[in-house]
Order: sequence, then C-alpha cells, then structure tokens
Amino acid sequence: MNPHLERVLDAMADAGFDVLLLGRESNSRYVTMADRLSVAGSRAFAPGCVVVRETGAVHMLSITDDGIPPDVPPKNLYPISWNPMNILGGITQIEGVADARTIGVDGLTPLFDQLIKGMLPDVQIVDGETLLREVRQAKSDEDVDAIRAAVETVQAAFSAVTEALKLGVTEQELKGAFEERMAVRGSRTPSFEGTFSVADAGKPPRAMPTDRAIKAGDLVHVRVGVLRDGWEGAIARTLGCEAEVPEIPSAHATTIALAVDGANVGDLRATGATVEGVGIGHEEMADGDRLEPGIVLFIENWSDPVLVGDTVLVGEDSPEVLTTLL
Amino acid sequence: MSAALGFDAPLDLARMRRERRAKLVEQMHAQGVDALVLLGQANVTYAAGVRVPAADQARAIHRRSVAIITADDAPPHVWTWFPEGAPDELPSDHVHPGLSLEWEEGARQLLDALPSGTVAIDEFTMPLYAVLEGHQLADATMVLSAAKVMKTADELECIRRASQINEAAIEAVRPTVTPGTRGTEVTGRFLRHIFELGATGNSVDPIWQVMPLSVKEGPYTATGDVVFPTVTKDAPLEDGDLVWVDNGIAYEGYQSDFGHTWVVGRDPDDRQRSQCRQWRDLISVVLEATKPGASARDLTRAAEEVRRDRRPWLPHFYLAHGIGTDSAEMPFLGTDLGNEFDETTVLAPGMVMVLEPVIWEDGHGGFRAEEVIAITDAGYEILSSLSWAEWE
Repeated sequence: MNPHLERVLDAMADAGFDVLLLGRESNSRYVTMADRLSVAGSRAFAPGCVVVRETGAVHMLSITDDGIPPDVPPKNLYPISWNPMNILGGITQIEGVADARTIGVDGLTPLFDQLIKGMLPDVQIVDGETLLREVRQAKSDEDVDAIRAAVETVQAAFSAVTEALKLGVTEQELKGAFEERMAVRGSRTPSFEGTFSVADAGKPPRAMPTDRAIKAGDLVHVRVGVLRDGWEGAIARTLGCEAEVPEIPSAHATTIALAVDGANVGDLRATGATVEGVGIGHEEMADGDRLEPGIVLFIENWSDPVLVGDTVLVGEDSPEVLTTLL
Repeated sequence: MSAALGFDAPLDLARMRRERRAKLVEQMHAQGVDALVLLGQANVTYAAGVRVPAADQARAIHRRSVAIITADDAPPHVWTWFPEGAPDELPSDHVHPGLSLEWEEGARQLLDALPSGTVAIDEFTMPLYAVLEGHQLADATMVLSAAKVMKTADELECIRRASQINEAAIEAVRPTVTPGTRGTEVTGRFLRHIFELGATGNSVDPIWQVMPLSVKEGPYTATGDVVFPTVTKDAPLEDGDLVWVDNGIAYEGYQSDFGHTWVVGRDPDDRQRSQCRQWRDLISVVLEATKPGASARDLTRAAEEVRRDRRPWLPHFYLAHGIGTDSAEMPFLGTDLGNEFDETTVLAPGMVMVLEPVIWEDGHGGFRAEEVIAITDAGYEILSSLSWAEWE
C-alpha cells in the first residue's frame, strides 16, 4: 500500500473518521500521488477524492486512469457531473460511505453542506483539513528526496533568470525565462508565479512582476517555486544588474540554525523571518507547531534591500539547507 | 523573444470595477442579500478588483484575498497578502492585512467583520465553518453568477486581449512543434511567450495531447468516448502525431481559452481536412442559431442536427461554456444537466461563450478547436481569431 495512504488511514482510525471527502488537490495528491491537470487559483469545494477507512479504498473523480496510479483501479473512479447531486449520489454508492457516521471534509460550500446533510442525514461533518495537515507535515526519506528533486529544478530554472538579467530586460521577461527553463527541467507548473521585481529602497519586495525594464545599478528580488511530481522546491535571492549585491543578512543564518528538532515554528518567526511549510506545494504551519526531523520549511528573510529564502530540511541537531545557489 | 503586445481598443479598468460592482449590488437588491462574504479568488477579483499572483491551489487557498461587499454600495473591505494588488480607488482603511482562514483566529477576525442582515457566502474553510455555526448564511453563487454572466465592454476587451496574447504565443510556438520536440518543451516556450507578450498569469497547465486514432487505442475511458484532456507528457512528439491543444492564460483577471488541432511534421491528410471542414461547418450552423433570446437548447439542437449519429462534443463536458474571471462559468450548454435545463438558459447581449464541439471519427481521430464569441444586440461577435493556414 502507498505509504501516504497508510498514514492517512491510521490517522482516520485514531480520529474516528469513517470517510474523507477531499476537495483540495494537494490533499488528493498526497493520498494518491495521482498526476491530474493543475489549474491555478482557489477552487470551491467539490469532492475529487474519497477515502473509506473500512475498505481502505481510495476513489477519485476522473473519467480516465491516465495519471492515476494502479492502487486506484478504474472501478474506483467516479464520473464528472455538472449536477453536484449526481457527484454526491455516486459517492454515496461507494462501499462504506452510506454507513459512515463521521465524514471529514477539507472545505465546504453552502451547497455541498446542504447536500451532504440531505443525502447522508445521520452523518457528522468534521474537519478533515487539520487531519491531513498533520499527517502531511512529517516527511519520509522518500518524500524528502522528491523535494530535493524539485529544488534541483527550481535552481536550474533560477539560473535562466541569472542568464537573462541584462540591461533593458523587463520583469515579465525574467518570469518568462524562468518558466521556460522550469518546463524543460522537470516541472510543468510553478508552485506560485514568481517575484521578479526591481528593489525600491525602503519598500518591501513587490510580489507581482510588471513591464518595468531593468536599469544599470538595479537590484532585483527573485522569489520562485516549482512543483515537480507534486512536490515543491523554492528559493529567493537578490540579483544585481551591473550592481554589487550587498551581503546576505546574518539574520538569515540565525533563523536557519533554529530549524532543529524540538523548536517551534514561532521561535523561527520571532527572528523576523517568514516561515512556511514545504511539501505537496505550500503547507500551512502554526506558530505552535513543533519541528521534528523530516519537516521541510521555506525560510525567507528580507533586510532592505536584500531578499533571501531557502528550502530547509529540519534536522536532529542541525538543519540541512537543500537550496545551494549562492 | 516576443515583444509585449499592443492593443488598439480602449480599456478602462477603474470603470470596469465600478460597473461590475454596480451589477453585483443590483443583483443583491434583486435577491434580498445585504452582504457578500467572498473567499473564492475569481470572485474576489471580480467583486473587489483585487489582483493576486497566480498560484497553485495549495498556496492560493492559504494566501487568499477575502472581500466583503455590501448592498449599500460602500467601498468593499478586502483582506489581502498582496496590498500592491488592491485597486487605487479603494480607501486605505478598507484594505486590511491578509487573513489566515485556516486557523480559528483568522476565522474569528472575519466573523467580527460580518455585517448584519442577510449575508451570503461562496465557500468555507473548516475553521470558518466552525465559527459560523448557528449563523444563517445564504449561498452567494446565485448573486455572483447572475452578475458575472453579462460582461461589460471593458470585460469583453480583457477577454479579447487574453485571447490575443494566447493566440500570439501559439503563433510563435507552432513552428517549433516538430518531430522530436517534447511536450514539456512546447509548454516551456509557450509560457515564456505569454509572459513576454503581457499575460498576467497562466491559468491551466498547457495541454498538447497526442490523440489516439480510436477510443480503444487510448487510455481507459469511463464515458466510452475519447479521453481529453490529459496532462502533458515528456515524450518526444512523432511525425504525424495528431495533437489537441488547450490553453488558458489570464489578463487582468480574465481568462483565455484557446483550442486547436495540430498535425506534427506534415500537412493534414484529406480525411483530417474533411474533419476540420465538418467542424467549421458545425460552428457556422451553431452560429446561425446564436442570437439574443435563443435558448442553449436551440444551439445544442442545431449541433445535433448536423451530426445525428453522436452529439458532437465530449460527453463529460459541453458544447459551450461561459468564460470570464473563471475559465469555465455560466452559461453552460449541453452538459449532463440535460435538455430541459438548456431550455431555461436564454442568451442575452454581453454573454461570452466558448464553443468547443468535437468531430470524432473513431479509427481516424478527430478535430477539435475552440471559438470564443460574445452575444451582441444584433447576434454575436467572434472574439477569437484562429489561424487556418495549415488546414486550407
């Protein structure tokens, strides 16, 4: 059995969940590692993946098994419908769903809230997102290797930005150079559309690139991330166009050094850094989350004008910085 | 390298935001809703004009902008992680720091800001669902879709520009699609060109699917029809491959939807040309029925009369779908909601639709492309500009 599914089923047993209805693609992807078409932006909840504790089976919304691993056989696929009642109706036919008492969901809409309560009147709807977040946080060696591969891709694509950064090139063109290289180095999609923005003294980095052309003496903030086989790798650096880039602030090393077993995420954030979880894309972490070996973080510091960010593996005694570009 | 695309027609983004909100407020009055609480990013873009960087869903939901719109037409309140994306006309005390609705604390902050009266919401995070327990909330979808379905002149111009950028990128990429090229290389070149041309985001993983010639040669299908779309593969394209293209990019929050068929490394053969002609004829027949007051069923019936053996579109999709700040939104024509539902969908000026019929001849592949049209007072205007050079 796929180790992620095994962990999710164990967590469901501990929490007393009978069924999970997952609408968030990153949750479905974690459970199945299926490669489905990625669409940018948020999407309102609709159940794209169903996990049944009693049978241990996973069912997915799909008309084909293309991209879907063999542990989810074609008989476990339920079809797309434009009528939400049909989708839910199909799900209630799945073995173990009609008898379920507790169903975890990772989001809801007013419509699905009503439909679930109407079609499964005895069911209690509970928070499945917290369960998935906690299960997804600690990474196996295999998971970390996949993140290492994503870091390799993001760094290769970052090099295209370094190469393209010349007098007169626009911020948008730098974004184009990055995404072109990304696609031929193992990732079809960024985890977010990156920052490629000229540093303006005293102002925080702008997230969204414009058609502004780079001038001599400009410093440029570059923050980029990719998804490779679902896993994220991200990096942030400040580049110069005919300009000396000031040294990376020492605060960055201070934050990174705290990424060890037993620390809290809040300890790292207290240094002024932005700290986020890295996994199947962005993973949300609370200040109170305790670090343990295997957790992967994106740690970013900004000290005007220098932006720097690294993908970091939490270690027992010392962290491992997975991103290696200087 | 492509140069940023210039545009002749005027576009006034501030007017577009003003007119969109006026439409929303009108619908709120009509439907008895006093306030909208919006979490969906396309909805927040539409209602409050807030821009955010395109992102994978996992980041998009955790760094989402949130908007509250009130029927008294006061400026919206927005919470955003990207203050640079808030529109200039929004008073600074209406732009608040980003809310983390994945935690109870953030959910309670939004609860505290909840206006009185009848409130409608588009979706819940689980902490928000928990703190809102006991509150009677309506579904915001009906207000949103009623406002969104009719586009203003500025919205039409955004969709036109998104289409033009998408088409120009395709024109730049197409000559490089030769035997030996990998699908992922095509993706890379396409992404570079859209940003050079001025796209503000890429919305859908670009699709260049090598089609089987028959359903049974293809991957498993639950519908019995040909499977489309599937994710782009790293394998090199081969001489004679039949490729169905499908892309979506964003310009100022509005989506393009580009579809076409390519034959790799050679000219289409007579059979393929005939399929293309049938597709274009089918579009003509559907367009003849396309005018204000026509029902969606009038259009699907016109398409069915051309191809009596099988409905000429993918059965898990539709003959046509609307497009705007979402890449597929109302109206939908020819879905599994059925003919009776289609009878109730009546076309009106300002609606924008993507027609995506399919000509499939099992054993010989098929042709698929997409035309984007707007309903006008007189009938329709075609917003897309597909190239037919290799098919004529």
